[in-house]
Amino acid sequence: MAEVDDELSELIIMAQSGDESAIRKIVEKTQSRLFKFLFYLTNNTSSAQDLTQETYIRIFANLKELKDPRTFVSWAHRIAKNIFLDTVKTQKGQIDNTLVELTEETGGQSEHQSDDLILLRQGLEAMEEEERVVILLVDLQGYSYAEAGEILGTTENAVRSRLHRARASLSEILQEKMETRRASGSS
Amino acid sequence: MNHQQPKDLHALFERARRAPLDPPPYMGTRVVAALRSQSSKPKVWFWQALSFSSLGLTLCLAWLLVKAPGTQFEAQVDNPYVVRVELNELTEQQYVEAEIVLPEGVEFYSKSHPELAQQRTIRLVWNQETGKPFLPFVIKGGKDGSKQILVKFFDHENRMISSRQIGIKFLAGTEKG
Repeated sequence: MAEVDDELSELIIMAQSGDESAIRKIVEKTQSRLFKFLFYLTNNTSSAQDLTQETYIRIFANLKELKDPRTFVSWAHRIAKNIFLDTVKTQKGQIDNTLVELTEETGGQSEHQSDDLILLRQGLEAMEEEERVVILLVDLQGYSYAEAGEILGTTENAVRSRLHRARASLSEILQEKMETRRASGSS
Repeated sequence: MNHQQPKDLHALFERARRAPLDPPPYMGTRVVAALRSQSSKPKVWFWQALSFSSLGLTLCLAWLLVKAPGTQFEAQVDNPYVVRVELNELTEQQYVEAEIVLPEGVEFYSKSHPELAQQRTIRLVWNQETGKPFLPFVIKGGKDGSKQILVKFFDHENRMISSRQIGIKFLAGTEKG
């Protein structure tokens, strides 16, 4: 997967020297992808915004450790994944989505998303976090099994196996949700 | 790309990949600001992540609406209160950071981030995308007495553009205001 072009590589090298303009440009070039990953992980706009910022702060605080700029995006996903899983552990596995209702945010992005994508987000939210991460890395972000294995710190075979379970789990969850929806629609 | 998945799932994720999703505005500016001040100041929070706790607690929350400078309010000790600071004169700014400084005896309240109770100062970010002309945050007083909360506003270049003093008289449980 070609993710880091020459321009981004050069910006990363400049950012490693502390160039703030380069940092801003790197964020601009990469934030859509990273935010989308965290948004589907959390199903909450505010949490995703917060985690995206946390991820970038950690990225740039440790950028000098990155030896090969071409691995920046996958490295960023690894950091994002770790921050998300740490947050889940801290909050005892529960992202507080009631916040969205109280602040009349209506989920922020929900107003612009179709029903099937809202259903997908709900299905993902019902999954175990580790399975959610692997299915989003491969099926949303488009990483290969090997690349996902690098991000997750595991083997390609382990990713394949985890992904198979995750897809089965998500399919089942979505099926149940659609049946519930049909049943309440017809009652 | 891995295509060995049910057609429905594949199609769903394909749509998700293509669907536009707006990332938060001014993220680069916020990251640079946070990196600059990392050692001396608290991180910059999105206010939406802190301002409310849970449905159950909304019954206990009251609004303290701060419009004019020097406004004084009364509040009960140990009850969380949402403080809404109107931003009317600041809405010409597209992006504002608010630094909230609490006196001793008053703490920030957030169910999702309970560690904030240990901090005396936080920075919240507001921008025009939110569509709301106010900034909310939740506090709780631990002891009775008159307290002053200071709110300072900064633009995207970290220049202070305005400030507010919010006076709250905290009353112990048996007292009436």
